[in-house]
Amino acid sequence: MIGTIAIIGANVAGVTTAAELRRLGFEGRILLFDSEAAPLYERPPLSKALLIGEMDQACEAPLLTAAELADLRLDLEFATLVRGIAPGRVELSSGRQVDADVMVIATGGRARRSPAFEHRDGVHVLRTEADALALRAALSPGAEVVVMGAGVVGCEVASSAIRRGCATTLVDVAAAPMLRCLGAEAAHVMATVCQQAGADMRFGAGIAAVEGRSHVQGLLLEDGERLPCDVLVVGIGMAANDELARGAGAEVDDGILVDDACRTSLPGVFAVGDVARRRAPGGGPARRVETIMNAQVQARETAAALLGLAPPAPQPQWFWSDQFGLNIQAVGEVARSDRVGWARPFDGREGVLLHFSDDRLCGAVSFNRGREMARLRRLLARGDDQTPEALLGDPDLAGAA
Amino acid sequence: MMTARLVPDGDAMSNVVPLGDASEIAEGEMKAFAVEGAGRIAVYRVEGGWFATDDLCSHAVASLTEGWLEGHTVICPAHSGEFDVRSGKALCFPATRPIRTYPVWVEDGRLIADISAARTDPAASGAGRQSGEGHPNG
Ligand SMILES: Cc1cc2nc3c(=O)[nH]c(=O)nc-3n(C[C@H](O)[C@H](O)[C@H](O)COP(=O)(O)OP(=O)(O)OC[C@H]3O[C@@H](n4cnc5c(N)ncnc54)[C@H](O)[C@@H]3O)c2cc1C
Ligand code: FES
Repeated sequence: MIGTIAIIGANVAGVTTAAELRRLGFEGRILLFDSEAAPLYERPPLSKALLIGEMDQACEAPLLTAAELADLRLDLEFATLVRGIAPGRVELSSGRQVDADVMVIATGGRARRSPAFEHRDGVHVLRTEADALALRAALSPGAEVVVMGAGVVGCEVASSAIRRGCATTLVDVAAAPMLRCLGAEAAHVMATVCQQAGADMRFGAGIAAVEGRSHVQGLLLEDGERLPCDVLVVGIGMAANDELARGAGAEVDDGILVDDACRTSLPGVFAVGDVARRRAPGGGPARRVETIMNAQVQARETAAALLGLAPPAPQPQWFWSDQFGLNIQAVGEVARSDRVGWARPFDGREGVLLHFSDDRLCGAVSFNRGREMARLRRLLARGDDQTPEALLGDPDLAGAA
Repeated sequence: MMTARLVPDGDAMSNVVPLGDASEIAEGEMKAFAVEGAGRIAVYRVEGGWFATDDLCSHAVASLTEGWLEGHTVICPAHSGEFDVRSGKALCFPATRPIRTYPVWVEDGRLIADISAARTDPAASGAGRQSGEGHPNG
């Protein structure tokens, strides 16, 4: 019988694990640790509403209401850094030790930094509320902003910076924005969108050096071009906070390696969310996914496994991004496709792009068409065997005008 | 069959407004109506019952009727937040705050809502009424 479960990390993965444990009937103690003093906020608005100024504090977008939090009957230990774990024991930075039968590591990640550019004013990353408030203060109208890395968060920052009146340049070694998560066709659509919104773009370009002694003043690209720069946003992804597991002897490789029920290689220790890297069932490369939905699904899997219940039905990967006035959603395995087609051609505002692999639907991207995306998510979840022609001609996926 | 009484326009106590024809919404479907002073109101027809909520999702800025209706659950098109259309309760992250619900009923084939009786109660349930049941104050 499990008496006490310690969850380390109180963002979407940790909090959903706690909520699921209660929903499934767990009556024991749940300890929830976080190093932040007020960690229960959504990260997505940090690059959007908070940067633009539609929100002033991250707590305006709470992960759950105060009433819901009270209902969960958690022992909250915030502003408490967990320094180590050992069998049956959590060690806090204060030196205090707390007993727990099971541990769930939901420590997420931290913004990856670029050592070459550190220690200069004007260089920013974006992962926490504090990062977002510092960046917002720097995004004054007319500032020369360079975003290094045109991934999802980088593009959202560029969109917000333009909204704040900054002269904004996106720089990436890849050929188009968000190429990895949207696939080539949608990424090229996004390149046009960014450009029309007023972003300057340097794709296929790396940054060779940063100019300025104490404050960044300019950037030198690898092709020799010099860009003026007051604010450099380093958006090159995150590094997993996997030290606790590594220190305890778990198998770790750019994330804590877990099986299909989120079990680490240590008995009684689970890992969920951005910090977890799942081994592929067939022995392919293990994969770490940084989305809200992945954190929620893994939290449900962990809670079910802890209580000896059947796992929830698998769901295709899905995420959203809001930028440049577009709600973009992607589902499934867009990188795996060998053919794409528009069920609803992109008209500058709306569109639905289908991805196929071996003539079967394997993923999709929608622009401002959430209803069709809901349908596509259901099709992919249950496995669809319609031909590409049938799906591309489906009026329900084209959507009403 | 209908017992509800229409409150005349300009009545300060109650704000009972016709929204449109009930026939505009098929079983299992939803539609938004613009109501002066109340924004857009979403009306749902589920298993013979009529329900009404704000059309604007409480999470950010999306219109719920552009999403998906599954039983009594409406799914937001922007980030897949879910709400129970009977109580307005938020069912699934990232939606956490409830949406307002309104009494709605059918009178002579017309959809009628009482805007002044809006409520935001996460614990409320059964805020909708069966078709033809009439307005409680009628
Ligand atoms: C700016 C931004 C925008 C995003 N937008 C979207 C979006 O639009 N859609 C989407 O699907 N995803 C988005 N994401 C990704 C999404 O936010 C993450 O996938 C999600 O936050 C992962 O949750 P998590 O709980 O696994 O980890 P995290 O959110 O990283 O939380 C980990 C928590 O653990 C705590 N912690 C770490 N180490 C310790 C320790 N040793 N002791 C105690 N506490 C510790 C941290 O303080 C933190 O609170 C965005 C991310 C960012 C940064
Ligand atoms: S706007 Fe509805 S879930 Fe976000």
